[in-house]
Amino acid sequence: MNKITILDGAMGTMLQKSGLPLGSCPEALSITNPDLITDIHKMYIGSGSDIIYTNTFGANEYKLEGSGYSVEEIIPASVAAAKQATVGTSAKVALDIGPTGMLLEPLGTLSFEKAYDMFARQMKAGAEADLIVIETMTDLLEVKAAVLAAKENTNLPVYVTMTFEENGRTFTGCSAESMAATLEGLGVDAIGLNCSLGPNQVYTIAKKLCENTSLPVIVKPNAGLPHPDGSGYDIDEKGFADAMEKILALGVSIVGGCCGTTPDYIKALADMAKTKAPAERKLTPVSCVCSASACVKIDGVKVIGERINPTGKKLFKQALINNDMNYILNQALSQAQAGAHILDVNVGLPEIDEKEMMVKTVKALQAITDLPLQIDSSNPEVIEAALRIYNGKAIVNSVNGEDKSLHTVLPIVKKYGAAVVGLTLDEKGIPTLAEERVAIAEKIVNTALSYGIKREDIYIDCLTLTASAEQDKVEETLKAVEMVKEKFGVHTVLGVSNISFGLPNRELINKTFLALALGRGLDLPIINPNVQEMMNIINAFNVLSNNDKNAENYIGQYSVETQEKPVVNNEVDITYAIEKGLADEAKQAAKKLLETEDVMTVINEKLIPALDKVGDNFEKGTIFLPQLIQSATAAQSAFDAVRMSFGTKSAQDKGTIVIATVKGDVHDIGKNIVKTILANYGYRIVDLGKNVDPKDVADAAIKEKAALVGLSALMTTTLGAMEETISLLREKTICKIMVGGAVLTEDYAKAIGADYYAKDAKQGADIAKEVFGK
Amino acid sequence: MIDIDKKEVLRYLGYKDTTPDEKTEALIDLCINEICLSASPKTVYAVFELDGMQLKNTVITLEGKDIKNHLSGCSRCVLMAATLGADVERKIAQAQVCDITKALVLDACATAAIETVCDKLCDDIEKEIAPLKLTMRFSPGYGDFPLEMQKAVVLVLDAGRKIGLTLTPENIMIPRKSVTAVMGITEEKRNPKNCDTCNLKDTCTYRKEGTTCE
Repeated sequence: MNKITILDGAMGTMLQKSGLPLGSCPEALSITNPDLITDIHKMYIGSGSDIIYTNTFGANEYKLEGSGYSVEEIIPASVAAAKQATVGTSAKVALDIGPTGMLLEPLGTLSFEKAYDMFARQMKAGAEADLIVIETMTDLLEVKAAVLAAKENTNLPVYVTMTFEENGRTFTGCSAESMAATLEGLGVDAIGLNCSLGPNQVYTIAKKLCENTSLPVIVKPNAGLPHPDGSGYDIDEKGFADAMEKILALGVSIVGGCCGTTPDYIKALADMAKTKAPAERKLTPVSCVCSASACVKIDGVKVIGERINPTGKKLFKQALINNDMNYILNQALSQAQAGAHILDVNVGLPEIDEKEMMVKTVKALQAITDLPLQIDSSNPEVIEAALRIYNGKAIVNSVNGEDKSLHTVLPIVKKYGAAVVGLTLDEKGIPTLAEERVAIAEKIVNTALSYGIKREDIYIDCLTLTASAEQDKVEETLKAVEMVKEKFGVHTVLGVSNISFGLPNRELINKTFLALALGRGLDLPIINPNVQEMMNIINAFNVLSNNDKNAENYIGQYSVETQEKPVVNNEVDITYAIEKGLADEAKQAAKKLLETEDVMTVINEKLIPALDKVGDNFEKGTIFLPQLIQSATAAQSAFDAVRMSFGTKSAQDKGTIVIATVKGDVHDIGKNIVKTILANYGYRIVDLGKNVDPKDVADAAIKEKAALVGLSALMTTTLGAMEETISLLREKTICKIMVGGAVLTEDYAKAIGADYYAKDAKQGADIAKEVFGK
Repeated sequence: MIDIDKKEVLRYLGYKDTTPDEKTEALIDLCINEICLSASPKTVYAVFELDGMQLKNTVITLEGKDIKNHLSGCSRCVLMAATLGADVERKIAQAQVCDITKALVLDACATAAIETVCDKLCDDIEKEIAPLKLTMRFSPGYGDFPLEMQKAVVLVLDAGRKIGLTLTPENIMIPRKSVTAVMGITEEKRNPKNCDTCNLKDTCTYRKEGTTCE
C-alpha cells in the first residue's frame, strides 16, 4: 500500500442528527428509508472516504429481535444502499459487523459456537460487499468467532478493530499485544482500534499495535472525549486531523472516525492525509503466545508447567474419569502461583472422550487463569477442537517428522495461528545421533515454513531420553538442542523430568539436566514448577546468562527472607480444628487419630459429629456462613487424610448427587458452597457447573445413576429454566430433586415440581441424609 | 479507588450485630483490598424528559404501576448503569476453585462495592442538578417494573459500548456486579426503600428479623 486509506465517519451520529429516536433500530432504515442511508454514504465518499461501512452494525439476530426484520432482509438492503452510493466512484463497501451484544462464556452465557452461527448468518447475507470489517469489539474470543465465520463463509478481506480503554485494555481485559498476536495468526488483513476515546488518547495504544504486528494498522477514534452533558465531543475537525497526523507518523495506514465524527471531520482528515504515504515501521520478529489478557514473549527462558497430564498420576486419572474439573483447575492455579509462564494441557485417557474433555478443560482453564496454554495431544481432531475455542494464541504440542503428522497437524496450526512444537522423531523412532535429530528438525521447520507458519512460531523438541536406560544419549539430546538453535534460529523445548526415570533421587538428576540444557540453549523447559529448586535454577541461569538485567528479578526474589510457613499445631483436637476451620491442623489430627483408631471410627465418631455440631451452630445462628464453609473445608482435608490411608478407593459409597446451576444463570457460588458441604458426608458429587442445559442435567443424572439432583437459580428470570429441567428429569429419571437460590421459596419449589427446597447448604446436607437414608 | 463499607460486607455475609472471629475478620480485610484493586468501576447516565411514562426522543416507555408511582410528579428522570468490570468476576471465579470461603467473602465485598459506586454516582448527579434531588434508585425487576426493561435501559444508554455492560437473553447483567436503575428528579428527597415493591420480600432475611436493608 503506498497511500493512506480513508474510512468513513460515524453512521449513528448522522442518523441521530436526522432525528432517529434513541433506542430504535437504525438498521431498519436501510429498508424503510434507503435513500437516507445512501445519502449519508455519499457524503462520506464526497469527503474523501475510500471505504464506507454498511448500516449493519447491530444487524444480528439478537439485536434485530423485535425490529420486524431478519438478518437476511436488513443486510442485503444495507449493502445495496451502500453500493448505490459508490456508483461512479472507486469507493469500496465494507460489511460492518458489530458485537453480538452478549458476552461469551465463561463471563457470559453465549457459547462460542452460537456466536459463530450468528456471525455466519451475517457474513452469508453480506457476501456482496467488497470486504468485511469487524468493529467495536471488546472480547477477543468473540472476534475470533466472527473472523472464522467470515473466513469460512466468504472469500472477502477481513479488517478487525477493537475498542480500548485508556489503560490499553478492552472492557474484557484484552491487550493490544494479544489482539495483534491472535489476529495476525488467524490471517486477517488489517487490525486496529475504533471508538474508544479521542485521537489524542488512543495514540499510545496505536503505537503498541504498530510495534506488535506486521499488518496494516487501522485507527478510527471518536471526535475526542464526550461532553459530560451528552451534547457532543470535545475536538473539532481541525483538532481531529492534527491529532491523526501524529498517529499516521506511527505507521498507521488506514484511518477514519467513529462516534461524533461527521463528513466534515473526514474531509479534514482526508485533506491532511491524501498527500502522505504510510510511514515505515520497523519490526523485529518476536515469538509470543498469549491468552486474551496475557502475552508471553519467548525472549528468554519461559517455563511450561507439566502438571495437567494424567500420565503416571493416579489422582489425575481419577479426576478425569470423574469429570472433576476442580482438581484440574487447582493444578493450574498452583502452577501459576509457582511461576509457570505457560501451561501444558494433556487430558488424553483411553476411558474418556479426549476431544470433549479437552474443549471443556480449555474453556474452564481460561475462565480462571490468564496463562497461555499448550494443547498437548497427538490427535489432530482434538487439537483443532481446542484451537478453535481457545482465546488467544496457543502452542500445539506436537507434530513430528512423519509426513502424515506434518500434513495433518500443520494446516490446523496455520489456520488457527498457533505456535507448534516439533518432535525430532519419525516413523523410524527417535534417532540416536544428534545429527539425525537435526535432520528431522530441518524437515519439520521447512514443512512448517511451506505452510506459511512463521519461523518464530516453530519450537523444536530434541527429546529427552531416560538416563538410566540410555545414558550415552543424554549428550546427543543436548548437542541437538545446540545445533537446532544455531542452524535454524528456532526456539527449543524439552520435557525435562523424563531424564531421571528409574534412578533414585530423581530431583537431583532433573535439576542437573535442566542446568545443562539451559546452558546449551533450551528456551522452554517443560517442568513441574511447584518444585522450587527447579525454578531456582532458572532464576540463577537468567542472571548468569545476562538475561535478568542487573539481577533485578533475582534480587527481588531472594533478597527478602522467605516467610516461614505458619507452624501447624499438632496437638489440636480434631473437633476443635474443624470447628475453627483449621485445615492443616484438621489433617494432622486425623492422621494422628488413624494411628490408633480405625477408619470408620474416625469418620463416624469424630468427623461427622464435628460437622454436625458446626451445622447446628449455623442453624442456631451462633456461627455464620464463612465459618460454616471454613469448617467444611477443614473437614475436607481431614477426609483427604482418611482417604489417603484408604488408598484412592475412598469411603465414598453413599451414592451420587448431580448438581448444577440452571441454564441461563451464571450465579453459581451458592451451588459451590453446597458442593463443599455435601462432599464431606461421603457422597459422590458430580458438579455440572453453571448455565447448564436441561438435557445435560438429565443425561448426567442417568449416566451417573444419581439418586438426588440439586439445582440452583438466583434470578426470577431463570426459574423457568429450573422448571424445565425438573420436568425433563421427571420424564427421564426417578431421582429426587432439591432446589435452592435467593428467589426461591418452599411454595414455589413445590409449584415447579421439586421434591425439596433447601434454604441453605446445611439444609441441603439434611435433605441428602433423608434421601440416602444415611 | 472505591470505598467498601465493611459493615455492609458483614451484613451480606449474614452477620447481624455479631463480630466475626479473628480469622474471618482478616479474610474480610484481605478481600476488601483485593476487590478494590481488581474493580474498574464504570458508570453512564442520561437525563430524559418524561411524557407520561414515555422518555422523550426515545422509543422507551417505562412499564408498570410501581415505576409510575415512583416517578409521580417528576417531569424528568435519570437512567443509569454501573459496573465493576470483568476482572472482579474473574477474581471470584478463581477463588471458587481453591477457596470457596474467600469466594463468598469476595462476592459480598463486590456487592458492597457496586452499591458504593452507585451511591457516588447519584451524589455526583445531585450536585449537577442541585438544588433538585434524586429519588432512590428503582431497578428493572423491582415490583412490577419488568426485568425486560433492562434491555431498553442498556440500549438507550449504549451501556455495552460505554461501560462494557451486556445482558444475557434472560436479562441477567454481565459482568454480574452491575446495576441499572431509574431515578426521578424531584424538588425534595423522598421514597425511602419500600419493601412492597421488592421481589425478594418473601425470602428477605432482613424482613424476617424485623429490619430492612435500608
